[in-house]
Amino acid sequence: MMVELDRVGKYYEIPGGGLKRDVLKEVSLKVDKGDAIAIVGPSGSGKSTLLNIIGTLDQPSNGGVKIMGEEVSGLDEKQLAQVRNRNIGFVFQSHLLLPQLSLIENVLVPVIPQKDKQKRKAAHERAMALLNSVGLIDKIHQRPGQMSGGECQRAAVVRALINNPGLLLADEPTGSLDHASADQLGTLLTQINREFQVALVVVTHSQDLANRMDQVYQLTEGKLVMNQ
Amino acid sequence: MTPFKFIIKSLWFFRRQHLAVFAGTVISTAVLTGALIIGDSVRNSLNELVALRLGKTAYAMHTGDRFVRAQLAAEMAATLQTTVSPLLSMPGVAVNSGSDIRANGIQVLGVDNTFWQLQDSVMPSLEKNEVFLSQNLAQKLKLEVGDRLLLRVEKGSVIPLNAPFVSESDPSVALRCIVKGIAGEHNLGRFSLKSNQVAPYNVFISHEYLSEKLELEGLANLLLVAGQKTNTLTAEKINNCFEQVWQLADAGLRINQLPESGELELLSDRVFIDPPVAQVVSDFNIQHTGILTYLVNTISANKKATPYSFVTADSSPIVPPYMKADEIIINDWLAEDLAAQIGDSVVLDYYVMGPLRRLQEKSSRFVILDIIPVVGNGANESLMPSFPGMSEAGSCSDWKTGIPVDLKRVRDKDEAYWKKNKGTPKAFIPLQTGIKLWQNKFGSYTAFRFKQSVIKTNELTKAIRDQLAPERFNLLFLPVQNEGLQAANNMVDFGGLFLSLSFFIIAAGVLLTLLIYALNTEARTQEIGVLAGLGFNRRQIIYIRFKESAVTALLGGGAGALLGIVYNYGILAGLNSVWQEVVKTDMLMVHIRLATLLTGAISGIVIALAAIWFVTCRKLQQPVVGLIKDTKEQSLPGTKHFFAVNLLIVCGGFLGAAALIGYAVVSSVSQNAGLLLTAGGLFLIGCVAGVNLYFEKQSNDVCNSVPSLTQLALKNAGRNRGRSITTILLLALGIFSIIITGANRKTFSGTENVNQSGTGGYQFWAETTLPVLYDLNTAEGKVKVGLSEEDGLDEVEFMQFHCLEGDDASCLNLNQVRNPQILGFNPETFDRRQSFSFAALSDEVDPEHPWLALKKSEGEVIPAYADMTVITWGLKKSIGDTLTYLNEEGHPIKLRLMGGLKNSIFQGNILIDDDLFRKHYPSVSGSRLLLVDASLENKSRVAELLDSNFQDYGIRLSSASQRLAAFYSVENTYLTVFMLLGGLGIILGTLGLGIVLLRNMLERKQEIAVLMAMGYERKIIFKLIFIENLFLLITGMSCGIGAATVGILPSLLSPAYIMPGLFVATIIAVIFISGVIWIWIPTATSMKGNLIEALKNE
Repeated sequence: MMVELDRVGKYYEIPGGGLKRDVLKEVSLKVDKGDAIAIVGPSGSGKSTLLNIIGTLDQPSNGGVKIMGEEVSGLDEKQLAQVRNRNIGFVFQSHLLLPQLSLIENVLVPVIPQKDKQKRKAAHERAMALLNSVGLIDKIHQRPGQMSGGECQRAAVVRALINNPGLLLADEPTGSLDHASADQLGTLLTQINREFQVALVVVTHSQDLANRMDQVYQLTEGKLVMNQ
Repeated sequence: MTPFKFIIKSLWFFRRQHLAVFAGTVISTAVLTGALIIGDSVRNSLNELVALRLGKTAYAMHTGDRFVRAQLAAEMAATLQTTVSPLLSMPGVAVNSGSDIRANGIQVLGVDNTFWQLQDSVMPSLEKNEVFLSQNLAQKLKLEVGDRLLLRVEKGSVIPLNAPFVSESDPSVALRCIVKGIAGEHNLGRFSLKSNQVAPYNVFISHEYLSEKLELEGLANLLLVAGQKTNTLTAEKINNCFEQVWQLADAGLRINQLPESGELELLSDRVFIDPPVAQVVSDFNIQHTGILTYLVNTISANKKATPYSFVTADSSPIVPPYMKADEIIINDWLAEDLAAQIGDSVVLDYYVMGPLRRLQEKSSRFVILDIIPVVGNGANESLMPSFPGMSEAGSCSDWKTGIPVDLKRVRDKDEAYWKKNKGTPKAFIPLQTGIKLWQNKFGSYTAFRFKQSVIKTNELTKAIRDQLAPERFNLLFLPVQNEGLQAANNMVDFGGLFLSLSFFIIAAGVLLTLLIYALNTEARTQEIGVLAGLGFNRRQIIYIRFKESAVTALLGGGAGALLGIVYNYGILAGLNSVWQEVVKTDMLMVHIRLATLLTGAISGIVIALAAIWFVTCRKLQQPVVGLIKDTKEQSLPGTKHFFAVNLLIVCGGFLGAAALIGYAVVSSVSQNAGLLLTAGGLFLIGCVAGVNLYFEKQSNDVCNSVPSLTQLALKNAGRNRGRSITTILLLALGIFSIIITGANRKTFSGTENVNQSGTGGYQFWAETTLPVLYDLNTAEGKVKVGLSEEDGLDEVEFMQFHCLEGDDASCLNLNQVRNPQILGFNPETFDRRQSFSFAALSDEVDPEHPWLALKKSEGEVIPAYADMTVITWGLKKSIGDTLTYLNEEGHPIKLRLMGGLKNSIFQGNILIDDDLFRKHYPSVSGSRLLLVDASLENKSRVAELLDSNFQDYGIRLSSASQRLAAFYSVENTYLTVFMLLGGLGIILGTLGLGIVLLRNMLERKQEIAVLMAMGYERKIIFKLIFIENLFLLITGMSCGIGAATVGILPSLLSPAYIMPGLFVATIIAVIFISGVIWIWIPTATSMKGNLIEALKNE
């Protein structure tokens, strides 16, 4: 199992009042290898919070989170970072590529903390292959400022995949793209999901993108409910 | 909503940002205003010191080595209707009788009650041996009222001490005195005619008592005139009054009647009649006879010799007009003594007096024309001038002369002649021959005679007085108060100086304002875009933003000006205490002028507004869409053109610097600051362009593998190339300036003993209160001052200087000086020793033998040297410029500055050839300044000997290197102040850079969050950002260090240069640590908290 959430809850204390605002309430979810799920819901429903908890960027207030079968709640920051680096790839609404780096360099940034020399050595070749597969091989020396939004977002997907993660998390990946680019990116994500058997969790407002996933969950008032 | 309301609302909403701009404006304005107030404060303090120094004295006449009647003061006071006070001012030495504490170089002032009228409070009269001491002297000697002290006062004389045949008496008079009171600063305790902020050591004693003890009864050498409230007194009026009341006695002249010859005789108390008087007499249309009587050592003929005889050079009636130049008339006593006949040959041996009473015996041969009786036809004892020590002697053995007299040679017949005929000349030669042989710098005549049948005494007196203006003796009243105020007002420009010294703090304040405002503007870019989108035109937007910030700038300027007063208090406290080296006084008081405060405030506000204007206008140059989208400036790959231009700048910078340094090394112009700074500047430009190229290369590098963390950090450093280059440039400029300053701190270790160094290779600098009249390089001279052969001083070389007193033009004096002290010396000695080095020489000077150029005078223009620092800063002159002095005869002479010495012990003095010095200032007796060269092994023994043997001369012996170090310490203190303030500025600058970095971090929060999402640990991200900024810090510092090294390279290559390495290393370390702290703090701050939040805010 790639991800296993067990009655995860998340609340925020309201400053001054001693009151709590529940964002997630006993959310349980299992994502297996090759799964592609979408989480939808209205703005402020806690979708991104849930994704961040899955991605170990945020801690649940209660409940358990397992990534690749490992309980992550007891891990320290360093171990969490290693978990993310090895197992999880992120794609955000904005591409968040580093403007000072060329495309290939941006893709290779996640490899830098890797200590495994073999992996580091193979990373460049893998990056070239991935960029080739997404149609960006001729733009590897260009910088984000010289590319379109769609190209940048595709590059961001490649960057997320460079360490060969088992889990790809995408937070509104098409949110800042035009219809054509969004469509292209949706295709790419599902293609990756199928080809590499990468578990894919997408948070989106886009019904089109959600429809491309195997399962669609609705997050409403902190409860995660699978859409039929 | 009105624009005003909009502005106020924005101002309040963005109050935190405005507070930061306010802080920047306050800092720059405070430092700027503070520096300007320092100028006012020092100027005002110096003006107040003039009032304390002179009291009500507005005009003064110092008579030099002459003396005038003290009665003159009363006569002038009656005419001028103001206080005129006569003083006897003599140098002296004071010793606490109880503890033997000694103070040399004191000013002993013989005053009467009129002197105390020059100040406001009543002072009791001084009786006999009672004295008032200045406060500083009382403190130095640890004396209180009622205590006893010993005063040793230079024994003034109406006859110049180095005139021929003047007897050698004790040069000083010892007086045992009782302290009657302490003269505070408001009781003229600081009285001095010298424009200097340093308080003199003064002893006030009864004029009557002092003049009696110095055998100068009724005489004065200083007259002070009080100013009038109506300000109707002028120097011209006072000098006219003086001319009306002065008498021949004030010029040392007297007229005797010679009843036996029916003649009037004009004589001088100074033995030789001053050339101006001789000139006046020779211009008379009245028949007169000039006489020059001289003491010859030997008259010999026919292998016989007559010792010590007077010979008169005369004209008719004794010497007939047809007498040839080499003919002589002798009296029958001499003829008999020498068994000489008419036509025989006679040889006269006589001394001529050289500098420092060096005697040279010369001979002249004559043929006897006639033999006359001892007395008769005008020949009598009246022809002998009144030589003190001889005229009154009862016998030859009682003679006290300035020449060595071998009494063994004096025979009974000589004693008998003296007893019977006194100094009646034994021989006569033609006047012109006598003048040729014996004229000296004091005159060519010993008397003039006039027929009473032609002119009466009163007519002669009037005729001489009418023709002889006092200024011919340099007797002039000078407006000392105005000159003092002028010197104070034209002082070292402390305002400008501290403005320069505070440059980095001001720059840092402006930089902070600029940076913070720029960051605020960037944060509000969208607001500008929205306003533009809503139809506001460019002018309206600037207007709104400018008005909003103008409030901050105005408040900041006002608060800064007030804070400037605090800054000024701080700096003055420093100057009065730890930095006292540069001001030599603790009397500096804060003085605030409203105009200065306003100037500071307005300047600060204008600078802040200019910065705000510049940033706003620059931001508005972006397209509106860009503003609304808030597109961040990113550095895109450069074009080929960019590469070529940068490469050209790199090559041009480095090659230009190399060429200039090469030129500087080859032509030994290590002192050319402009050239070397340009070389350093070019190198710096080259470095910065090189860094720009490096960034470009980094960004263009083709990536073939996973970049390392350091590579990523370096690429990040080039992310916003404009900011990075600015950071590097500012750091480099700061470091460059500070190191150049630090490396120029003057130090020496061992080099002070080298002849070419600032000590000239001499071990000691010795100043004596009383003049040393003898040549200490001769055995006789040493004996005269009590040194014996056993002392083993043969290898010790003395260099003696004649000194014409003047103001101290060294960096120790804050006042502007027009006529510094002149030193006359023998330049050949320095040429032989190759002593000292020159920073600049006139083209006419032979660089191989620069000292010899001092001997080449042209007319009244005298070549002179001074320290380059004095020429540039003290005198504000250049090489080739002239200084005008009045010589002893009141004629203006021009001293042409032919070159400037590198930092030397002569700072504050003007050096000229001794022959020329004595020509123009013949009365300056002896030397008061000595340079002593002794071997290092003998150094302490020589010091002990000099200290003990010259104790009564009031010797102030200091190691030459210590003196040099004292001057260095002034420069070094200025440099320390500069570096302290500059260092503060750089630290403030690095704080600004820290703010920029913090802003960068805020902008890059998402980037950090993404890295965390990718699995970067916080410490790796911290390391990444830290390396990135450390690179900027190290690169900036390296560029600065490199450029500074280039700037001081010629000095570094010079063996005489000692780099104050520890000092410079400390500065670099402090700046580096400060930089690291300002990188660490924002980086660490930005790493705190929930960075993932940034992802939500995307």
